[in-house]
Amino acid sequence: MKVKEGIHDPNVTTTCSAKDWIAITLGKLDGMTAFTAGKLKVEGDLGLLTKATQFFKKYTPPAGDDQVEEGEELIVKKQILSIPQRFATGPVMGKFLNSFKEKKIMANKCPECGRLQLPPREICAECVVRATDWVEVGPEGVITIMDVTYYASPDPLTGESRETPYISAHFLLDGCKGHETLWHELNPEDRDRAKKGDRVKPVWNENRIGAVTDIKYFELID
Amino acid sequence: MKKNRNVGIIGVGQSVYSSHREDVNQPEMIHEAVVEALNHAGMTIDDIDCIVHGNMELFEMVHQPDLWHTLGSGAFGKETMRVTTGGTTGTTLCCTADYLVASGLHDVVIAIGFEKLQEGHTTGGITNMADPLWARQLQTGALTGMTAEQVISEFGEERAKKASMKYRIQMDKHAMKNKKAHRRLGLEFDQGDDLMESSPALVGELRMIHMCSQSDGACAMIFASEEKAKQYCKQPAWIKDHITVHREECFCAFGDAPVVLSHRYAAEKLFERNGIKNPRKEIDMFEMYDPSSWWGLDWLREFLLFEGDEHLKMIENDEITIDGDFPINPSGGVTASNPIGATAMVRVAEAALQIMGEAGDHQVKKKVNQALASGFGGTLWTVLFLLTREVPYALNKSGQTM
Repeated sequence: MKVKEGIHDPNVTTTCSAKDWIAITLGKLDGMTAFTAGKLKVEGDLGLLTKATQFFKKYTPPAGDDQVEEGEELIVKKQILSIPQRFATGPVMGKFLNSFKEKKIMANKCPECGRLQLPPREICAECVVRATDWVEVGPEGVITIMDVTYYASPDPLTGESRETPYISAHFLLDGCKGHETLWHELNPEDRDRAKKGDRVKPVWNENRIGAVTDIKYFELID
Repeated sequence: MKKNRNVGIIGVGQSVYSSHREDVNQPEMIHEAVVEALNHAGMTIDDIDCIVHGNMELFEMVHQPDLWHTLGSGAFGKETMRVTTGGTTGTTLCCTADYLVASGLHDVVIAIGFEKLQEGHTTGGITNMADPLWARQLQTGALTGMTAEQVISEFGEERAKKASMKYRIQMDKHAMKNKKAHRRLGLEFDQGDDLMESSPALVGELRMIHMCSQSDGACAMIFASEEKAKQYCKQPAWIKDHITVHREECFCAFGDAPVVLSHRYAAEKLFERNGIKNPRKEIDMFEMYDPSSWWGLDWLREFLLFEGDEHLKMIENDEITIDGDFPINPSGGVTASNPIGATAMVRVAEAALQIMGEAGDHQVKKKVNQALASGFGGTLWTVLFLLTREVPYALNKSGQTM
């Protein structure tokens, strides 16, 4: 995150890692706990900062400290849902994911218009025919567009805030053309030097299970 | 175009939009909107034949919330139906109410859209909307900086950023006139250059200031047959036409292709079948579902079928202001208030209020004969509404257009 000096005249300045800050805004980390643990450094008016916790009031447990108007008790009930799920991949998506185990990226091809689909789908919805042919593409390619994410979505598999920044990107793999891009992530360390058109290769995980996470990310080829 | 009956919008109710409506539970919040809509139409709940209810279940994780909400919605003992189509839910609720009245099944239908985003986790909910086999892992919630990057690469960094900030500040100026709006920040244009640097970056050049809010709130609208509408309302807002457009795929839509093609397609079809040749001239105002100021300015081009930089010029030349030649979102739009299940409905409701001349402090000065309202969803849907001041169709007894 880029921080500029001299624009404002702050009463209090805080310094902490992006991950901790997001955890504070999500209510996963208490600001005072972060301060006492040395994760949050403060310069200036500490008293003012304690008032800042009300910015994130939405996420703080309602019982206890909050001041409520006299004679009125507003109860807010807190619940946390945890739902283990299993999703069938089906044969087409299953073939695509399974090929990751051999470090291969497979697209399927429409027999009529010839376009490739990545990830593959059962039919080409433009031609309304089954896309039965398979083509191995990549694994190298070029960046077509990239999104540097500073504000983390929670990781849906763990519920934890992700490390930021991370880069969501589209890659045109060798053998693909036009809009036949693959959506994955780019190595965050390439953030400052990566640009559209740069060549990339996938970094595979050692332990591959047939999932999107088998590719750790793509990274620049030097 | 064949329509069985004309349908008029005769009542609009909105709760106050806010990040925190902990003062009320869900049925109570909905009740605020329902009561206001009934009062606006001069009706009681006894005059309502059917209730259409909708939101995005994955945000609050309450399934069949319409059952819980019965006391607030007034649905007890009445026909009822639930609709949920993601971000477009609000506009789809309007489509459903239109179908129910136009078909002759019911004479008076109330549609209710709501969301209490503070009771769930919006970004978590949106991420879980993505397909679980591939996209869920990669989703960045509803946030993307790709449109910003595309606009910047097409028009240059300075012009693009200035236009985006000007659009955002203009929307805030509109919101300042709307007491129901959630974010009324009181921004001034000379803050633009500072804000585009100092506002926290979310994704790429999409910054906090550009992005819509997460709001709590409810909207209710009453739809009536021509006979009932004329009986209860001096100037209903009539439904001329609406169109819903989906893309056939989602994956590539996020690729190198333009993100939203469904807007332009919807506009082309809607204008063509209603004989609109120059939407910029023939339409008087537009309530657009603008999730961020980058999308707002980019989508202006799509909906008005521009090819070049006319959309940027409209912003630069103050044509989109409440007093301008083509007002956009006099209500403040989605960047000001975003109770998601209601958001798209609020667009139609606000366009209707402009035609009725009852938008209050944010009423546009010019007479609104024809208004446009759009809905958008993360599943890349577009719903586009065309409302008119005049009764749109002369119908014979068998419902054929004369």
